[in-house]
Amino acid sequence: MSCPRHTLARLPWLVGLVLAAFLVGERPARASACCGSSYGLGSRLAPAETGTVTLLLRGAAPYASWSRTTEVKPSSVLTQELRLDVGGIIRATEHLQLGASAPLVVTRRAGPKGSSVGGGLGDATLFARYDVIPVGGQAGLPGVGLVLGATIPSGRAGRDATDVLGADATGQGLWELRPGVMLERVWLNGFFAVLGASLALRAPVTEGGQRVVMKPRLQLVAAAGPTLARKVSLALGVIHEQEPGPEINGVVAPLSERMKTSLLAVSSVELGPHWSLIFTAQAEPPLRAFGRNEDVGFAVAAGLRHVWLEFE
Amino acid sequence: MRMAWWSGLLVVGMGCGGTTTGGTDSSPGSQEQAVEGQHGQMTFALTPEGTPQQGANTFHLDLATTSGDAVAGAAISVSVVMPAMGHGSSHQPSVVDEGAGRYAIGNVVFTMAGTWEVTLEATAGASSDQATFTYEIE
Repeated sequence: MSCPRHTLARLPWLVGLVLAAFLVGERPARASACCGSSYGLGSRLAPAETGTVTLLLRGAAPYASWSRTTEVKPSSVLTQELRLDVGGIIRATEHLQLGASAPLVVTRRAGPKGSSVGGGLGDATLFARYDVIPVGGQAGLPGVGLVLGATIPSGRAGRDATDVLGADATGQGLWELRPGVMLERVWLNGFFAVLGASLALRAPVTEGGQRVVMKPRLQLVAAAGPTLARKVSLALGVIHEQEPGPEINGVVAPLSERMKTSLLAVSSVELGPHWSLIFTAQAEPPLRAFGRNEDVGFAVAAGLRHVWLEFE
Repeated sequence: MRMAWWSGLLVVGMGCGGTTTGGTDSSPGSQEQAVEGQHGQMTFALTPEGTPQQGANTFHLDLATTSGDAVAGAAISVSVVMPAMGHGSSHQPSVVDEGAGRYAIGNVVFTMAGTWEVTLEATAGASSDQATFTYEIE
């Protein structure tokens, strides 16, 4: 992860959490007459919601990695990561939402040279969203939300890990800002589609006298799916991320650019007016064309979401 | 505990200095890699004990002049870096002079799978040179 694979490997999971939050975001009883569905992407509240808290437990198992020449190399070390994310969002104004989340991470790694377990607090994140066009769309246009995420390096970076297998690394060790835009469209039959793009901007770091500048990391997300019986939402999606190689003392190492494409499935099930279950699954296809300098793995997650509604 | 991560600088004999960038990049894959240094003054032959893996590894360096004479008593610095991730190892390698131009380099820690670079800088008398070796860690 990181770096799990550092945190960069964690980023798709944040998107997964966000997508899950969106899928349960639209309350059927309070949604527009056209859909009554749960849909969306990016952490946000549905129109009738004033706040939410989400608890998400995720297990991940990277089993290979893409080399710098995009070959898929099986890993000699078995990695199992368990992660608990706690997040919340409040509505500051009609158009503005603010949120935060923090993870606890436990990682076990076992290989030919031994095994180890480590963990702790991961990187905390802050989030803001401004709805330019309301969720669901208006006058034929899709809903447009401007989003801004920030990562606080509260976790332990890989470079600070004391375990020789890096099991105690829980964060990326960099401040990060992620401006982005989310487009959301819903149809009368409850089918919805989401497109998102964001750019992760990382602060430079100086370590051991070397100045390291991580280049902006582009993330594109596309997801779509139906809503069933106004209670269950399903979505399948794709996440693509890529970034140029970092500059180390002004020099870009050859073949150090990173890229990965992940497949994502998300579902939400409404338990009642205030509670929902969310499920996510993500996998990187172990094929040469789908990545470079990244982990290959799969993960599943389950979570519980509670919302507060207006007029209660 | 925060540990020096980028450059594990260990001195055997006299002090050393200079940059840690650049160097001759050798092809990964073979167990022993031998390259001429960036400044054309020394040759570096680096052999891992077994296949390099995630975790701590030991290497043996045979250092010689370009005319083939062993370079003994050199100061060796070791830098372990994962370029794509923009970070190094959190552990400091150790260097032991085994005599006759041979050096044991221990505690070379690769904390994750991927491409890692091990850069060696050697200083002996007025001569200084460096070389970079690349390893695909699985």
